Amino acid sequence: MDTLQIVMLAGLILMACISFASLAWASFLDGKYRNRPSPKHYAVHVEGVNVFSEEDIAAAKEEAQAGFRKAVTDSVGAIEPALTSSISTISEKAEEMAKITLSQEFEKYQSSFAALREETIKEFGELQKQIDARRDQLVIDMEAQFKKQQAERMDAFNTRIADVVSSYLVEALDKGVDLGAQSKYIIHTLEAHKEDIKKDVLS
Amino acid sequence: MSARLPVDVYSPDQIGIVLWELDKLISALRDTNTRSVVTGSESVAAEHHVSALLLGVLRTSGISERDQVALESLQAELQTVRSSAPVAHFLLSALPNRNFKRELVAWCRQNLHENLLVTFATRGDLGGGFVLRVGSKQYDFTYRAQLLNDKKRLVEIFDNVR
Repeated sequence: MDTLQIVMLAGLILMACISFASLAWASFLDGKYRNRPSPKHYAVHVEGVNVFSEEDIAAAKEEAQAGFRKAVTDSVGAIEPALTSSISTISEKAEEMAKITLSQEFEKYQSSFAALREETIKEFGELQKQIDARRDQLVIDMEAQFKKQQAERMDAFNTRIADVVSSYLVEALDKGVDLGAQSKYIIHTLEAHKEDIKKDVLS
Repeated sequence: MSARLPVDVYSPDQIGIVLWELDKLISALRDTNTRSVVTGSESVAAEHHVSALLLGVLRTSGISERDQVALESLQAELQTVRSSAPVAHFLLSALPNRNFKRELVAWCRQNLHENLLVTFATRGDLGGGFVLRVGSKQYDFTYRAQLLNDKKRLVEIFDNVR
């Protein structure tokens, strides 16, 4: 067993002794405090003492109320003129403000009314222009349609008349068509359209 | 040499007839020439009937009916003319007589094309005037069309009717 081991063993024995002593001391203190007496509480009641009698209290109340009435009456008397003048001033001010407000509102109303009137006039003007333009367009369309229908009717009439004339020629000439009489017309027509026909021939 | 057509030969059908006759004539000439080579004797050309149409073409072109080479050349040219020459189609209210046809064909060849071919057809309800079709273009020169094209004239006609 070397020195270190001896020292450690001695330390262990010392620590065990100290622990035992501590436990013994703690159990001694615990027993000592458990045997101490607890403090006591005592209820104390003090009876009140009547200083004034009932009559004295009633007289004091009446006197206090009379004083209060007098003070209120005095105060009202002092306040009333100021209140009256304040009311008249306030009413004057209110009337004045009402006048100012009313005139301002009336001016606003007038300006709004004028603007509305201007706008209405402008819109009516635009509407009138649109109506005029639409009317003019309708008149133009109607005239164009009328002319178109007139031209179509005239074309139909002319076609019908040409058919009548052609049919009359066929009926009148029947088999007696003389091309000799037409030869001048045919040659003349060919001469008149020579250039056009030549273009088609050469193309 | 370029084939020139007489005014009597104006339609593709007539050229077809001329070509058919030319073919017969050329065949006959070949037979005669072959026979002379085989027999070794001078060939005597047989008389071959030639129509007025072919005769007109030969005279206009200045070709003898015994000149085989020239005839073959003419045949080729006529075939070219038939396939490529422009054609004008006349629609009339009645068939024109020979003189009027000649007049029309002559005018067309003088003013439109030297080898222009022409056909004639009729339509009874045409009344008067004519319709000319060249290629895809058609010209309506009937009296009815003239009346419709010239409305003022139509109004004048009706004004004159009392």
